[in-house]
Amino acid sequence: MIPVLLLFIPLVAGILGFFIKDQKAASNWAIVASVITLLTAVIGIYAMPASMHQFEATWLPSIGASFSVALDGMSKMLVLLTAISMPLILIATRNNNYSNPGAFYALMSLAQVGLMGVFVSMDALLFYFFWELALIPVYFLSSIWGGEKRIAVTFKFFIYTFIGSLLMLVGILFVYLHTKDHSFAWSSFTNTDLLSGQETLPFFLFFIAFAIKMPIFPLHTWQPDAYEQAPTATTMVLSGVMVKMGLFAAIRWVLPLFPIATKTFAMPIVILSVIGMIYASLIAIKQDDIKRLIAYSSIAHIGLMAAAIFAGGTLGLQGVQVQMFNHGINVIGLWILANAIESTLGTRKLSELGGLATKAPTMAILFVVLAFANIALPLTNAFIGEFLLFNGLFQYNIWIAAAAGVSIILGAIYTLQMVQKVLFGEVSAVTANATEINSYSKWVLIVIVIAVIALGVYPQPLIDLTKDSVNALLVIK
Amino acid sequence: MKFSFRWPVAAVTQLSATDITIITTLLFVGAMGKSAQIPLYTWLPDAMAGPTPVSALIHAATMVTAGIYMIARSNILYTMAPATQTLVAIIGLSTAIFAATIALKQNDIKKVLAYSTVSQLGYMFLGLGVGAYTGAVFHVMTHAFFKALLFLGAGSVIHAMHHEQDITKMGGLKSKLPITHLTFLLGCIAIAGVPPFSGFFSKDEILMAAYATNPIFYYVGMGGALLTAFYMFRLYSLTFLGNFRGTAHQQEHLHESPIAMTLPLMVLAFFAVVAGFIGIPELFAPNAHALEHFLAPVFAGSKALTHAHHLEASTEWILMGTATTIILIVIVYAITKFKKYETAEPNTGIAKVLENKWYIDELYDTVIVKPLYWFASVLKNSVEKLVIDGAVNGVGKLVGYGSRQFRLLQSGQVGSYILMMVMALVLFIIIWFNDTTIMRFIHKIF
Repeated sequence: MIPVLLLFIPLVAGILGFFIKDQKAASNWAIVASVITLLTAVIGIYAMPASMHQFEATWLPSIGASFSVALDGMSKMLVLLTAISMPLILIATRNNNYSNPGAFYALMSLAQVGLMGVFVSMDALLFYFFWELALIPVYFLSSIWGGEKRIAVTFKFFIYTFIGSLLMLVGILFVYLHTKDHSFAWSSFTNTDLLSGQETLPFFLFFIAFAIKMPIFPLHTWQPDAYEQAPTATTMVLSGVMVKMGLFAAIRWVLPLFPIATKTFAMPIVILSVIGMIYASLIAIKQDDIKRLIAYSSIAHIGLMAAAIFAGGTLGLQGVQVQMFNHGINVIGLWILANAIESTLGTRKLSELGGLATKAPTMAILFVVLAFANIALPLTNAFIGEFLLFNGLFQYNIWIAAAAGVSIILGAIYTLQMVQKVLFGEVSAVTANATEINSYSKWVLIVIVIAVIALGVYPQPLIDLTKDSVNALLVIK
Repeated sequence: MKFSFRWPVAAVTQLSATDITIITTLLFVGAMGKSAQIPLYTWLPDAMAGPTPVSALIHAATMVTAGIYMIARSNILYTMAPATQTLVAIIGLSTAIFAATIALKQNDIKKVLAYSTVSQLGYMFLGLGVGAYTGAVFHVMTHAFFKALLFLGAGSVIHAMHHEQDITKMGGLKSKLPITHLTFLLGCIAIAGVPPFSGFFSKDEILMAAYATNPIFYYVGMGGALLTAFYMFRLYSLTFLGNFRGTAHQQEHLHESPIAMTLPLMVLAFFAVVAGFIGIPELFAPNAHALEHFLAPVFAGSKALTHAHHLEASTEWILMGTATTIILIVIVYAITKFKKYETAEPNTGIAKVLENKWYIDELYDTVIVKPLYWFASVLKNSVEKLVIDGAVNGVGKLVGYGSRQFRLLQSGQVGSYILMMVMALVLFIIIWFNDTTIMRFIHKIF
């Protein structure tokens, strides 16, 4: 029942939200709905018996598709991430004003429905349905409330991911035709009569869709543009939660479905991911725009997770689980800072900033902690995640792990460069009148920073939560 | 799997020799960065831009010695990897000499101390490399006292000089800052290795072990010790002796620092003088090396694997005596030479190279930093924009182009539509009646 509620609450909130005209009221409505969703998720996951964690209803019995949703370790973790992210995002950007606010917040809620649906679906057709549902609100959010180049960028983003989705749809049909009982259920999909040679085609049909979403090099070029042009709240949803769809889907819908093809093509995929890490890190070094810098930094971090997924192994896969959550909240924190800087100072260019540490000391402290988390310094949550990921990669291939390690150094370069240019140095003309960030952003950042340190010191809750998913994967392999 | 710092001997002996060599080398690279050894030392002198107490605590006394601590902790691994040990010794020794040469020509009081720190860390690695683990840890300890003392003394001087750090603009501070002067002098004597100050005992222990391993290590190390004595007393002499060379305003306000600053100096000076007595060598008194007994459990594993070769007592006496004599001569020479220092003359030749730190920063900039940035901008401006995104947009354009071409088919001319209809009909028939007669008929035609 819980997964149904998690879909139902934001859905109703979204539909009703369209009718609200007032900015503050629309924002309040969305925040209340997201908090209720969060409470439902937390209580449902931690206080309700396991029988409440799944639900199945007939949907299209003639073709073997059913409305089958369930929460296992990985989906619990991602549902929590989604549920936690939404109120954080909405509260932090509460001071942003939108034309037609009702529609904006309604679409945000609907995006949450799509995300939740992707994470809880145990039926391939339902999964595809939610996969697209998550994309559509984001398309409208970006193309209506985005930046100057929003139309072209959003169009590219949509077409790019849509092509991937269609390939996946073909893949779903392909596998469906090979299921023993002609069903779209996940359990049937993981138990097909596909011969080892037949796995290749559907493997790539699925993989490309997810690789675009993650993204894996060289399918990443939509992302920096989309992150830059989308309204910040949407960017936060995109990079904090939505890119996890690709990683999640690779673990749920690729690894157990095509174990042989996964093994066969793991090496090139891991290598591409690692190339992407280094490549994105190098580009991040030369970025002057904070948003694009964070975007490329995020591509580098996702690359490590993608590499670890295909490298396999207990530690690596456990690391992916932990890091998906950590990356989610950390990158949202960075976007909040970027948003705060842009909305108060009117620029995102590093070359125009400087000396904010003296002007906004509280922000500076929060900024520095999040920057450390971005470098995965010990005592931040990202350290645990990346340590596990590197362990997995190391056990797969030492040289690939070493190459991936280079991107950590590069990560320190671009992150500290950003810190240096934003917080330290001379106060520039732009930053001369800078003030502290607004208290909404500040309090959300404080919550995130506490989580960063708490999970850095004691990550066990995340590991416990996702252990069963990791073990299930290892059984399949 | 367990991460424990007490490398269990049983587990370690299961590793192959190659693995141990690789592991120890990689750990050593980490230590190189942390403890500022060649080629990863350039950050430390730059980090001295921080406040002086920070330099004293973090960049001299404690944090930078973490690399030495780590290797001493892992002594069992290093003892089993003689190749890495040799590497550690050579890197340590080279750093000791190299940094000392740079310190000879620096005029910033903190820079001299910074390069001196790099150099002393080199001695500690030399100690680790020749298996003198106790000696290395001993030097970590004595160095912490006299280097913290020197840095805080430098802080007191800088404070008195109104944030002037250039020693060529100081001089004659002896009478104005008596406590700072005296404690600084004690620190200089300690670092120079004059018996019975603390630096003498720890450095002596390392150098004697170096001699036992390879006399060349000893001679080169001793050369470095002479450089140390020289640059430290150059620093002392330029700062405290001779005539004052600063501005009149500075001279007017010259003052000894408050008790809050001088008290730590006195405490540290006390230890800089006496701390060596916890490590009295076998030569002076048998079984008097308290630190060795204290650390024995940590190094027990590696001690069991090696048989320490002891030097003849007479050899040790000769080496010690000669070294001390030469060091004293160097000290007197440096004091007299720089006492009369008046104005700076531009350096030429090798002195200029030393003043510019062998141009290593520039070298790194040219070889690593600039190419990296160049490569990054090529990726950003060309590869990303033109190649990868170009390909993506190219696909989009191709579709657009295809659509435009197909659009031309809808010309609005009835004739062409009829032609197309007929063609389509023919195709349809071919596919519909896809039986052998028609196919054969077609084959006959073509």
